[in-house]
Amino acid sequence: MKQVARRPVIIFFGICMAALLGSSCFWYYRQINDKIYQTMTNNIQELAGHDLNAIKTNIEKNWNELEAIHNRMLYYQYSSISEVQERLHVEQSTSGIEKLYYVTEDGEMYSGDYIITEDSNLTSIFEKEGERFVCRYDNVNTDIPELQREYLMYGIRITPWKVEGVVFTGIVSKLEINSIQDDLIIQSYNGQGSCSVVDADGYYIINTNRSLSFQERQNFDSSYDRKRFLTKGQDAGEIERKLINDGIFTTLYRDEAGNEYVMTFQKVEQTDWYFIMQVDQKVFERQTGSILYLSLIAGGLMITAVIISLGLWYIMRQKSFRAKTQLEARNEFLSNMSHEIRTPLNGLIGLNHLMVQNINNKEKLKEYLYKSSHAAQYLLALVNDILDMSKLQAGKVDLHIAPANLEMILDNVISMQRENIAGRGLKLCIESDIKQTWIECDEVRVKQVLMNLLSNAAKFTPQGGTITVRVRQEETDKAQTITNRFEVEDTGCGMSEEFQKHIFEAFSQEREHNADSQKGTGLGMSISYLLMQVMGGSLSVESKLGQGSIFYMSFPASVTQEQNYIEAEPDTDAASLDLANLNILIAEDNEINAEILTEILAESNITSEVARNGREAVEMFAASAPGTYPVILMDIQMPEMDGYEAAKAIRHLKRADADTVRILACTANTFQEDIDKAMESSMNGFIGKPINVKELFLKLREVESHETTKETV
Amino acid sequence: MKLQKRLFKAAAMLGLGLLLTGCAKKEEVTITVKVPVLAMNSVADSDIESADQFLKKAAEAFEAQNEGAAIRFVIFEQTKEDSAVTDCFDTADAADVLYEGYFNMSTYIYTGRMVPLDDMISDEIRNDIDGSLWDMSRADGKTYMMPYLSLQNTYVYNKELFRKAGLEKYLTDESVIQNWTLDEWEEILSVLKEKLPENIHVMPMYAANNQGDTHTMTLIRSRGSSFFDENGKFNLNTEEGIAGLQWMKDNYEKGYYPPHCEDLEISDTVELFYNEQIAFMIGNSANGNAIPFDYSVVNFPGGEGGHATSFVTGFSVFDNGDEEKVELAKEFVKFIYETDPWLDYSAGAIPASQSIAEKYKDQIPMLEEYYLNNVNVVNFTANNPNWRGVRDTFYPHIQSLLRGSETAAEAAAGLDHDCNAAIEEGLNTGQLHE
Repeated sequence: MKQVARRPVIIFFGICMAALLGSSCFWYYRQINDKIYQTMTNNIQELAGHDLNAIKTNIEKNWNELEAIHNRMLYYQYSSISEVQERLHVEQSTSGIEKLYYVTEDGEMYSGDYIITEDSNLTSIFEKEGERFVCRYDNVNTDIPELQREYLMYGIRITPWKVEGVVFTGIVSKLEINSIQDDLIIQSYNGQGSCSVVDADGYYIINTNRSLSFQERQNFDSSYDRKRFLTKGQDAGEIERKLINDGIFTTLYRDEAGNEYVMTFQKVEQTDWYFIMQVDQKVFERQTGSILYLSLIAGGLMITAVIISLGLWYIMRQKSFRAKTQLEARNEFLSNMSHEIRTPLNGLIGLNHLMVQNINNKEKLKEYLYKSSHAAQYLLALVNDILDMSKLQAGKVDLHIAPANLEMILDNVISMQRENIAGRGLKLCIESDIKQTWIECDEVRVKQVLMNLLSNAAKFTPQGGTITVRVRQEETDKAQTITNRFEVEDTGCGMSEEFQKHIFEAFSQEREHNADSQKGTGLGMSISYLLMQVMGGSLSVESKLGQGSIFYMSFPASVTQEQNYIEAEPDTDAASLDLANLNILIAEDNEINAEILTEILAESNITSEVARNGREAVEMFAASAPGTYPVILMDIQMPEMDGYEAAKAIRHLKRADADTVRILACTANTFQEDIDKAMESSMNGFIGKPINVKELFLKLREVESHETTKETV
Repeated sequence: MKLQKRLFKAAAMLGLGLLLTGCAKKEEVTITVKVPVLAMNSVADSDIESADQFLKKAAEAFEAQNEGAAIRFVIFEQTKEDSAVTDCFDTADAADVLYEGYFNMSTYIYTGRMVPLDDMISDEIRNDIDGSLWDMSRADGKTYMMPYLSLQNTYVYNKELFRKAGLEKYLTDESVIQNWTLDEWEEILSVLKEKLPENIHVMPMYAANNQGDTHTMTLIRSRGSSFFDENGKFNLNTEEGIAGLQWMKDNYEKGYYPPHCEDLEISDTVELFYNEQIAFMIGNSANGNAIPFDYSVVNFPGGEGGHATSFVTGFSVFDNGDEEKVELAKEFVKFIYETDPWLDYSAGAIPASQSIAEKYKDQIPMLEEYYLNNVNVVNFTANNPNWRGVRDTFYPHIQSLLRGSETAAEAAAGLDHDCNAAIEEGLNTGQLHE
């Protein structure tokens, strides 16, 4: 429900963030675009300024040259027009001017090529332009195509000069139409910027667009639809006005194909021309794109750097937190361990003290010995649980999966707890619905968990309460696999919600319970929980404070065929075993342990000799007559030579009983890998410390019966 | 979701339908046709004054018939051919089709950029055009140019000025191509010089650039020079060649040419002629309509019947690395030759098509006379490669001769050396289109 309620908030937040990011990007793009546009417009105007100066200089140079030519012409005396033309030809040839003319008031033109023509337009040009002019001049009036050429005509008015009755009033030069171009920065921005000059009528004086070829006499107005200028507030009329009145302005133009250009117009001084620089808008877009691209990369790198820094900070923080938590957990664990171990130790030491004080009081002594034994057993249970816990947490627990009878498991556990439950005045109900009796599981571990649940239920249920155990099986998707579900319900004190969160953690025990409830290591639930996980199952709890708890335990298991049930051997009283014929070699470096073991064996009339380390054991065995030691109790951790090495060395001895002597590991190293290693070292059995006397004698009995069989054979 | 699926299906069906019915717009291919400023008369269309006008009309018709085809024209002055053609190689402005006289064609052929056109020439067209024109259009057995029309260059003279000089006896009212002996030429030139005013000149001469050099080359033959040797190489350093050059120099010294003619262009002499400031002009039938006064035609001096030059004007296609453009350019040229009435526009000059010549023989001025005059036509290129290089080395020697910085003998030797070197360069460095 909470998730559903959060979703609109997350979506709203996401939309807001996207909108913020989008608008930020858009704002950034606009800012970059505007800045680039402004910068490039300035650059364009600067380039245009350079070209305008070049045009102005070029025009003035040509006018000055005409003036100089005329002044030189006046140095000479002429008796005929031909002489004037002759001299003019010399000037034309030496100046590089394509055509030079003297013109009369009537428009007659006398060229340096001896051509005499008439052009009435010249009269009006002089009248219109005044003392000096420059204009586009096309020989378009001639009917002879070869004579049709585009020129740039420069002219200056001169003081009327009369030769052979002809009065010259001006001198004119005709140059290639593109003669100015050489002095201009025609193309810029990798060919995407170009400039042109148009006259007042819109005809090109300079045009770098080569598609506008000769005779086309293309006009700016015909090339550009003025309605396509895009600058805000500048309609066609405004463009016209600006063209006429203003010195300079920049606008945007979009052609028919949709290409956009930035166009800068500037008036050319001393003429009626306009200089136009046109740059493809793509140039701006590319520049913006490059900067945005770089910005994106920089932004990306910055974000990445921030993310990495945050990530590193987070990882370090997590590590630090974990280390701190682990440290706290370790401290807490050690504190718990210390408390849990000190408690029975305190009991043992205290009881020992009381026993010494009451050495002559047999009744008291018996009571203290009984309590001392319980404290020792508790301490052993605690150590076993700690070891179990350690192995489970390290993932080193190996399950011993084997066919097992689930009903038998339940019965065994119930029978083991029945007395405990009944003794507490509790009612036990069993609701069993077992369909598949034989399953494959680790019977011991399943029992361990069930025992733990039941003993806990008994522990926390007050007198008169009820404990209900339910068992059922469910089929799974997997063939021949079932899920075994156990429920252990009690009507006990229940647990707080807070404690339920921690119940499966190590050393978790809710305080404020009765003293009985405090018995136990506090590891049982953790071990049970981890065991269920290892089995692929689960363990959970539902509880209400004051109303009781239900523990749910489930684990999958394969269904298997019914097995032959082997009746367990009846419990054998260790004292009743007759092992008097045995002589045992004890390899034990700890004197107390050696003494205890010697005394326990002696109690049963078993003779023994002690070797202080592995090497001594090997030597003693080697020095003995064959059959002297049918059994060797071999400690593992010993100086000079450990038990494994000693066992191997004994097996390698060349004597008849080297292979047959029963070597039993007798060690406090009780992990599975220790047992495996002992077996690999050719030992015959394993007895864990502290020594369970009953177990010890059972093992020795096996040896005795083995020896008897050998003798019989 | 259902509505979306339906819309998607409808759009897919529409797209498929458009694809199947060919409604998708064809991508536009634009080719560039370049043409110099060329005078043109056409009896098929009296509005035509220059070659570009005819070509633009043909292009409009071609574009109308070929969706996605676009033709862009660039018209250039003849003096700016470099910037219009060679300078544009490997640029977006390169010509895909060039229409002009064959003067520079050999140079372009050997750039390896001109495309052989044999695959687009139908048998009908091949048979309709005179074999001599095909010969001039070939290199290494492949046809690189499509001859469209030819013109014979001769002298055109102002009959009124002849009358003013009292030379009526040389005038004729008949529409013929005249021919005068060398003695007659001497008399005519000397009389014109003597009788005409000082500012009216006699003969055209120019050497400012490589334009109009066919005239000058032909004049060198006036004293019997064969111009080329049997291998097609320049062979002016002979008695006849030197004499021809010397005659040109003598005429200058006698004042027959405009002063400083070495600095003039052919267009200057044409302008002088149209202004009636010179008696002769180099011209052809394309100029006829524009001449505003009474004129007649005479062969260049030399040989028994005088000399004339004939130059073919036609189409060539360039490969600029775009196959689509090459194909479209060839389609356009083919369109002109195979679609009425575009071949008819050649009637005015001497049509390359014999059927068109036959069709318009009564309307083409002096067609019969030009045919008859073919015997006096000299081959001024000998189909040599790098003719542009030849022309560029030719006129500086003529300039030097006219200025007096080279004698006729020196000029002859220099011409042989430099022009043959240009031909060799063309042979050695040129390559044909692969």
